[in-house]
Amino acid sequence: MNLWNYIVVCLSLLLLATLLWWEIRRINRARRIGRVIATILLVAGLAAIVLPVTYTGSRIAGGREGVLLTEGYDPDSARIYLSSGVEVKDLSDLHLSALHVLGYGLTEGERATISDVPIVFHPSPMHTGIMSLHWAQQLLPGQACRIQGSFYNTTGGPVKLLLFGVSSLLDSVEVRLREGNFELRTVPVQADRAVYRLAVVAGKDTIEQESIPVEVLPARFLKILMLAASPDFENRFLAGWLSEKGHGVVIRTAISKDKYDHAFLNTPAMAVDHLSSSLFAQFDIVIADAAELRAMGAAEHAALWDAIAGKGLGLVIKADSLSHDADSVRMHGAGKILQTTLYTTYARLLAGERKDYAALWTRILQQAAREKEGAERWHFSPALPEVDHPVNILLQTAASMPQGLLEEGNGPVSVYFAQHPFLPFYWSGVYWPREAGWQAVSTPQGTRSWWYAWKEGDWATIHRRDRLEGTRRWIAARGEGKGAVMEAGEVHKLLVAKGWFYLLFVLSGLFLWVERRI
Amino acid sequence: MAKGTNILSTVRRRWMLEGIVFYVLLSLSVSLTLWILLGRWGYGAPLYGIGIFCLLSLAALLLFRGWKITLVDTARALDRWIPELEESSHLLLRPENDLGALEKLQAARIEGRLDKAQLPHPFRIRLIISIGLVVVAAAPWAIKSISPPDTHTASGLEKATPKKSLLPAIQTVRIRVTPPAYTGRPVRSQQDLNIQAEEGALINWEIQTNTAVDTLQIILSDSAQIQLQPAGPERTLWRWSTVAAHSGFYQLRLSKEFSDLYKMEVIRDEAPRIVIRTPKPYTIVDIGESRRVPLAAKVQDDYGVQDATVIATIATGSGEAVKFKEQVLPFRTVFTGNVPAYDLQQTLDLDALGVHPGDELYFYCKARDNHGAESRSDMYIISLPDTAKLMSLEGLTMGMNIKPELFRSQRQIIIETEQLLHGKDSISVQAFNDKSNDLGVDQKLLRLRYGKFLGEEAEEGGSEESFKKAGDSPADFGNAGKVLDAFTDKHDNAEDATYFEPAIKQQLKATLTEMWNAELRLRTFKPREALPYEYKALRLLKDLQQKSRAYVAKTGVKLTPLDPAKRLKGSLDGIGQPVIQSTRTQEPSPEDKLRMALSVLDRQDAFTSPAYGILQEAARQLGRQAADHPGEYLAGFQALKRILAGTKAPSDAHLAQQALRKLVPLPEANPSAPNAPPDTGLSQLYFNKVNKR
Repeated sequence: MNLWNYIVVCLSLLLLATLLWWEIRRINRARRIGRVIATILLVAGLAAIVLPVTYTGSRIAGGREGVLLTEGYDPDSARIYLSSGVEVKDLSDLHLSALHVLGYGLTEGERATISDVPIVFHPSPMHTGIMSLHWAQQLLPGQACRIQGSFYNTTGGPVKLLLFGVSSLLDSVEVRLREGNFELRTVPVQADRAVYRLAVVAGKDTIEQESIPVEVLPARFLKILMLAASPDFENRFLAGWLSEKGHGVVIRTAISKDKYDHAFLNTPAMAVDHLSSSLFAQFDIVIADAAELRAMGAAEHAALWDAIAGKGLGLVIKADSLSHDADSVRMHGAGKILQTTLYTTYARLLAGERKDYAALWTRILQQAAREKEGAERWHFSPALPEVDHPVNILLQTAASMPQGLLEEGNGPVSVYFAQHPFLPFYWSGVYWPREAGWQAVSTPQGTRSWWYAWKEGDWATIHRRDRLEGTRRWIAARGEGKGAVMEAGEVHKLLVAKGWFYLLFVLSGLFLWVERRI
Repeated sequence: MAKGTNILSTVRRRWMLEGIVFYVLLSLSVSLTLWILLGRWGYGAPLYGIGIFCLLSLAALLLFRGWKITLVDTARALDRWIPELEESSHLLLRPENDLGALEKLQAARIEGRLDKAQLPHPFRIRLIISIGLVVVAAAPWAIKSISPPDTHTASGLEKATPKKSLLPAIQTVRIRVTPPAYTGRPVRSQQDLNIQAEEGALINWEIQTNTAVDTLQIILSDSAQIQLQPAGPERTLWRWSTVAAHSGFYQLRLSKEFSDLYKMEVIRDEAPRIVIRTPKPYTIVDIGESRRVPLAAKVQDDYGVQDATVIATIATGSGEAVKFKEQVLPFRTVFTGNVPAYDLQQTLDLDALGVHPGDELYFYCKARDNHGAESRSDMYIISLPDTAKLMSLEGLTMGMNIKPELFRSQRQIIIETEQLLHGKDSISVQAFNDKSNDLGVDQKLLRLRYGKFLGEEAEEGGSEESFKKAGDSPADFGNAGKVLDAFTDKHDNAEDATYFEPAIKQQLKATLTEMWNAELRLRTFKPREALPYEYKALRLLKDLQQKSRAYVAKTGVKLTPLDPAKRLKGSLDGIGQPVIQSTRTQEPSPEDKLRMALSVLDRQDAFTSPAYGILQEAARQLGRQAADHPGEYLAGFQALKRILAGTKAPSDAHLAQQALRKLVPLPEANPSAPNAPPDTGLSQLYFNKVNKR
């Protein structure tokens, strides 16, 4: 109990004494007892409106309790706990019987430093906002950017999520439920990096506004070998479309016995009459008529299947009436085999449905294409790196003793890596981003990759949720073997809602007033 | 005395009024508090608040009963409030004659005192308190409802208006636009340098400068430079005029200074629009229907319609012997040339036009506006079927037919109906009626015959389901034969064939309706009225016959692969192998450069030399578009120019991006090699191990 509470109690007692004095001195003696009770209730109600009234259950026995206030704590409950415990500032040295953690919980760093003490967690309720989110930061040209996530809505009304990019509204979605998933979709029009904005709007208020960085990677052209058993429109149009898109295409069409028609589009001429492993190694995809596959010699056949299984070559078979293979897509070693029965897709192109044609063949070829191995691959954690917070960099490379170069305002900064003890191609290091925005990373020999660092305070709801869930999990895991850890559900000290006292005050006042009129 | 009574009644009124107001205010404050509390528990509807307020006010007023205060009560109360009245104010209420001498004296004394005394406000303090209570009670609600005005904008993207800066040396610019005569619009003057002018309008610039200027130029769409001539020797007034022909933009140049870019939009004259409301694009006038077809059309133009006519063409004959006759039918409306819209009516009298059965009338409307632009509507067709043709057997001998004898029957009914009508005068009424009834029976039989195609078994026709449910009796439960019967189509039995497409079934049903109508007339001895229905039924049947012809769309061909083992065994020595080689440029396309420019603008950092080049290329493309569509692209073009010049405003990048975005289509899907992690040999090792097992 602090001074304020004493003052309130004294004043209320004074008021009660005065009022009771009046009641006893009153000439009209009818219903005196009723009036006295009503007066006591009136003053009690008034006092309870001001004082924090709690009801308590079993408490942790003995000792001193500490209170740790983290972001988002409720001041009223803080007052209750602080009235019986001490506020904790330094986490490293705690001699307490229990520690109450109020708010959204502890960060990972704080969790690591905290000493052995039973912890009671009082999580604050979540606010309206984006709770989780995923999107692909790096996209291929023409690939749609899909932003999926879940949303927590406490406003009670509909909330709109708007996606802005390159100065226009790209997509929007309305969330009506308390908790719901959403998806926003757009095909980026820019050719390189851009930062989209995701705004959360309730009515006319913007609740949240976040940056969504998106990078469209440069197109990487495929090299495709087409083996046709007879000339047809389908191959001709497909080759035309692919070469127009910049891909290298070699077509070998059988026109007679051992006679072939050759076309080399966007590639230098080469000998393709005899198929060998060295020839297949130059291509990403082979599109072959089923008849042409059957006509292959044993050596050619073996070379092709070796290239698929060992080197990841893709094979698209154009099935005919003699094909019996039922699978339309299957894996064979490192490569993929697709089977299609579509022979007249060129009709779509002729009908002007170029978009459909492109979508169809992109889907087919994208699935079959041989994967291009990069020299290095970068991973950054946490998923939403923040300025002035440590970012763990994980580099996957075959090179020995790599070094990370991170570009800053005045020249690149080196990050030195530690090698993984079991997987020698994993290298990890830590970097603290200095400025928000796009960050360039490279090795001295390699190419530049881009990642993004957010301002401090961005994605507030996601960070809060992470902290809350993390603290919960940490407490649950900690409970084993440490005994006296309490769960947040076992809290026995709760505020009584003020509304009840308000009602008590009004009703007893009303009674006193009405009684005098009767 | 009367004065005293007056004062008393004033006090009474005041007492009553203040009392009522006090109690109402009190109940308002209590009900507000209760209502806010209820709101916290989810019953915050205003109706609840009003209800509580009404109840409490009623209760308070019942307690107070202010209207029951009498003058006597007032006098008593006054006696208590003002001691000087010496408990005698009630004397003022009594009639003067009733008072004794002493009482009269006292009354006069009291009246004087009452006059001088300050009259009490019995509820003043309580009123102030109650107002305070209301304010306190309403405070939380008021705080909640008056939320701070929000300053956020939904988009977060600033709406930028291009700033209008005139060159400092230019004092005023007056632009006069003289629209051409056909628009009928007056001459207008404007100060704004952005111009919207009708096609062919004369635009006059009058530029006044502060000081004498050497040269003043107008640069049109970034290309043509026009040297302006001064209007006087002091070289401060410059004039230039041109005829608005193309949209574009222009810029003023004063010796070495350039102004902003300004729009010059040309509004083109549109051709009249014609909408024909009736008849439908293809109308069949059946026998018995009116041969006068009403035509209603609406003609609209942006300035005025000069003239409109109907051009009708009659096609007579068939095969190679078709003859055409064209007629021009003017509308009866008088066209003045300056009314922008007309509702036009005309009647196409087929007989007067000379359209005979079997002929077709093609017509369209033509309209001309006062600028000479002409437009015409789509072609509309009115067809008059030839009943004689329907009777011919020609069509039946070819193609598939469903049931030839049925068609003949319908035709037979028509022939006999016509014969009956022809011989009406020569036979008795009884015989006429009998014959008509017989024909009706024939028609009925025919209708039932067709009903079978639809699976209608009952005489009055029914739905398909009723047919299927016919065997649905409890005794048949589990009878496999019956169940199969209900769910199979017996194509091998022609009589039971119910395998028709929905569209054909629909038409069959329509045919049955016509037959039913014909039968009704025949049975009520009105063969003349039955005739149109009979013809219609026949025409529908003929259509059905045409529909039964199958159409197979042409599909792609996949040639059978050659088998070299069996074929092509001849000598192929002299045959060469053709080789085609082509390489497309790997340069980024203009569209790709725009895409890159979008990204460069998004980053908004200092422009390096390649980025600057990309923006310059984008500005060139945007400039070309701005010349054609200044309204859409000029603001973006200006913004991009400012960015390139290094004098950008905060919103310029947005403006430029918005304009560029309109130029760039959504990218087409394109396969691309997927990314894989660097080759560490791990997966290969794993694959080999798995393969060994």
